[in-house]
Amino acid sequence: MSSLPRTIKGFFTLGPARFFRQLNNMGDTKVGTLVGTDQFGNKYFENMNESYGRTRWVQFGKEDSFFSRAEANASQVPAEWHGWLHRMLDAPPTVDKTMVAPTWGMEFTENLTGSPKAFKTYNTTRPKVYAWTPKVAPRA
Amino acid sequence: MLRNVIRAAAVPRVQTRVALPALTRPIHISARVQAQNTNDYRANREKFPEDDRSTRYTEGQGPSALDRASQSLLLTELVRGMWVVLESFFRPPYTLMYPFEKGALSPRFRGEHALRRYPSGEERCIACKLCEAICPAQAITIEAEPREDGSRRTTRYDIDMTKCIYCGFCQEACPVDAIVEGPNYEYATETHEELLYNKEKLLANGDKWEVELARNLEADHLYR
Repeated sequence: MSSLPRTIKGFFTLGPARFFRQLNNMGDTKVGTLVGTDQFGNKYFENMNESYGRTRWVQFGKEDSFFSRAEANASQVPAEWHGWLHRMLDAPPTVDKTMVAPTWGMEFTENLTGSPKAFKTYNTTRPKVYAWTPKVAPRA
Repeated sequence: MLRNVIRAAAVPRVQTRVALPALTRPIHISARVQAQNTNDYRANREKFPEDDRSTRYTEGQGPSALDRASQSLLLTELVRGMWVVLESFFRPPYTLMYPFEKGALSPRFRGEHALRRYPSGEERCIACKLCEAICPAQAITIEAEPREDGSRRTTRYDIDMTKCIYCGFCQEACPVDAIVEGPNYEYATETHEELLYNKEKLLANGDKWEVELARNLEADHLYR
């Protein structure tokens, strides 16, 4: 919550449902135009009248609610939207049609640490040392 | 105050004679002319005038002893400091609500590593081991073998992300833009083992981030 006038203004602009949802997640009331939605249901907003550095933000598809604990994660922003959200690019991928993953591309995954799907390192080479298997010569 | 006195006393001695090799005799430059032409801000007060708020000690300038005593007795510095705090209290905060709003990044940002592929899907790395050689932290380990079709490829491309210092030398050394440091920095893990990346993980990173990796390289290609 940044300031009382801003919060009151946000309540009347956003409506009670979105107001409490934003306060529960972001901790601030932000009003902006919807720029696009990605494949995970994350919604991207922009408001150029915000203070510097706060003009673009994301509303995660997996949000904290009364019934479920927070599953939102900063690494859930896919590569197409990452540059726009970090203000590397001017145009969002909805406008910039060249921001398309290649056909051999992999499905984007969030940081899976702590889950059963977490990366576990392994050897990618053939073994170079083999155990010695003794051959006993038969006694004459 | 004592520091200012020392700084004022440390004015370098003005050299009055300058010997030029092209001239037969040394020309004489008066100390006054040289003091006017000097770029030493401490030696020339006319060329570098200062405002009244300067704390540098100069003879005959600055606040009087009475002024200084009254300021220190009435704690005006404390009051001025508290006024700055009060001003900031009523200003809107600069806080960035992090996972929702993120800081600006450069296309040159050096984050998590990735191995890229050609547009055909063929992996770029040719196992030249330049990155392994240049890595100052010796975080990269490469082993290579000829593939079935005879092309030279890596069988092992390991990066110890806990050794890496993120200097970016590997991507600068790479002749085929195979190893790059991507824009992702949200790959913190719970265990050390998860950060011992192997070739499959690096290629998977490249496949996931190729859209942005290619865009960042394109943004920077004029300067490479």
